[in-house]
Amino acid sequence: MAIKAILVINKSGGLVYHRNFSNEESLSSNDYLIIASTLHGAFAIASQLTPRAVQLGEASNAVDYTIPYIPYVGFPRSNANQNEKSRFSSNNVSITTSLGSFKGDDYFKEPFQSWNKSGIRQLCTDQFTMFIYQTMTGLKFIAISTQIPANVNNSDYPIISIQVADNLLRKIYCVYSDYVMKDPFYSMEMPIKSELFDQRVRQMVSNIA
Amino acid sequence: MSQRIILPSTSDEGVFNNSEGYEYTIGPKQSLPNEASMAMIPSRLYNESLMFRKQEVSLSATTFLFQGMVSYIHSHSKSSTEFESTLNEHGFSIGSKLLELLNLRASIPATAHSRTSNFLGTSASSNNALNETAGSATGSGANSLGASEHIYHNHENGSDSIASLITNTRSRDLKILDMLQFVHGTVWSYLFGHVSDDLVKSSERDNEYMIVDNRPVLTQFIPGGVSCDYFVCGIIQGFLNTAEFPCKVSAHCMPQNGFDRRVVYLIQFDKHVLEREGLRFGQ
Amino acid sequence: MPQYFAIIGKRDNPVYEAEFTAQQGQQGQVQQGFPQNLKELNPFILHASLDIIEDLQWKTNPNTQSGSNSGGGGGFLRSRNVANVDNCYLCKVDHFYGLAVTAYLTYGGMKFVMIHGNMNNGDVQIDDNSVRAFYQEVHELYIKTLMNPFYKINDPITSPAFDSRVRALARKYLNK
Repeated sequence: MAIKAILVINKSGGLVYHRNFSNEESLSSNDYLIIASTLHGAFAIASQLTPRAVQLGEASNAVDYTIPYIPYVGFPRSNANQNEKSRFSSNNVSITTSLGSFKGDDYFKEPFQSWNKSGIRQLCTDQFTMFIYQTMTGLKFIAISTQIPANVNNSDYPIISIQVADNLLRKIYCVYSDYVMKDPFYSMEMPIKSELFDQRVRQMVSNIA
Repeated sequence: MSQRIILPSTSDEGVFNNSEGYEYTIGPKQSLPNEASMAMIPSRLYNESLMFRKQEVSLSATTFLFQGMVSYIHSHSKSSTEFESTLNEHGFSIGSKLLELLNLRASIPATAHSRTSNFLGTSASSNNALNETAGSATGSGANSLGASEHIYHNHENGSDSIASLITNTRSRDLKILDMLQFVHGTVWSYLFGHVSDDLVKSSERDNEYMIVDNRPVLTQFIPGGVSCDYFVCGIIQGFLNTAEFPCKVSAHCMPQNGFDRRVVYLIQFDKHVLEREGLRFGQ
Repeated sequence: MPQYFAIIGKRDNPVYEAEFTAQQGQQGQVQQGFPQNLKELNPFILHASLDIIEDLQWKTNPNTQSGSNSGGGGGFLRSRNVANVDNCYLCKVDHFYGLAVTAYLTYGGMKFVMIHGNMNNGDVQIDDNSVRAFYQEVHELYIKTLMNPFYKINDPITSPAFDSRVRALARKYLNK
């Protein structure tokens, strides 16, 4: 799957970052702002639509929100393969020392809990698929991919794509925590202008294609 | 330094009763007849050992602290020059204090270092043993007291003093190049965990030297120019100025070979440093 | 054998001063301090030697005597201890009517200077090893002072804890 765009929406529904990766006709930035706030509203409504039983009750325990860790999402494929093969030889440390404040060769290495328990996680249309990763603080990372499911009604729709997307978006969240949160000139809730963040995100998305 | 009137020398009686420290308006105190029997004034600062201990600080914590400092200075300065010079001042005092500390640490012979680290390790474990016995005997209340007394005693014995391990102090660096080598190697690895990537002498001007860092640790998350690197400039400048190599340090961003955050610290020594070097080590 | 010890800052300002006297209390003797008239002179004697120290500061081997430049640096006044190879401890740098002056330079150019007095008008014997050990220990204490974030270089060190530790060191190394 190819990523068409990455959006970051702050907790009040404002678009703080967007990056278009496709060469197709792109929307104006005003349109992106509208998309962001619409999505934010739809997300809030969706979380109200979620059955109460799922939100509270015993049923919530039954649903497993754990996302499995998928290794080396967003890393160069050759690197990932090499890591797969030579996991015990430590000669590949030098390549990946630039993970900012994260140690090791990947941002995280364990399965994690999704915080997006009642909102929209995925939106499938016949044009694109949209994945939403929500953080604890209400920040939303959105990936729009070109993937079109053959049959939306099909119940065995590949869950793996959600998992890959969640892994990727969580990594973008990690990058955000480094290059946006540690930028002394960034003010909270404002558009992200850091070219270092932009660069990292573009690198990561180009690796996944 | 606050300005106070320096009193004419007073008679000893007045000084005898004064149990405080050195007072520059009075002058030197004589030793008291009974001072040998007096207890040492307890002080956390002077009881801590200066011995190097491997302690890693989280990069996140460091950069968040740096971010806090930078944004504070940023909001309080009117121009970018003011911002850079304030950051520079903040680094200056760090550099001038590191000069003494790192040089004295470098004086410790390598063999003594390993021996004492073992020794300290065993003393710490015996400390714990004592702690446990005390704890079992008298309960947890006396536990911490006993331990702290033991540590105190240990320190007052001077067993942790690094000066006693030094047979020959490291030579003071008298030449520009020796000094810069120390900055490039020891200081950089103390501060950033790696030696700096290059140390270059300018081919155009005699008094210019450059220290190159391909991946600046502190400012790696900060986009845009090199303003924030003036903190490191301040550290270098403080180090060199206190060692009596007066200079100006400025930071320049020069991306190369894929290191797009590569920073070059340009050190410009004052003219008289070169003159002194020419006079002293001319031949 | 009394001593007058001072740390001189970058602007030739006193950062710390102290007088040490031998402890001879158990014999009921009076402490042998500096005579009152000399006490006043000590800072002058000490500051007079700063020129020599500043010259030695930039010599590669301040403790070795080279015949070619015996004219400079007060070389003829100095003790001849060629075993000393480090350039922090400068051995005896000066003397003044039977008083000897020793000096030590820290890496930051702070000058530790000491006047060694004599008791019975004899020559002052300086035990270089113990004096150097004293200076090194004080150097370490000075660095610990620097580690205090509220201390600025060249400020007087007024801490009673520092004072009591320096005096303890003096008892340990100088007035055994």
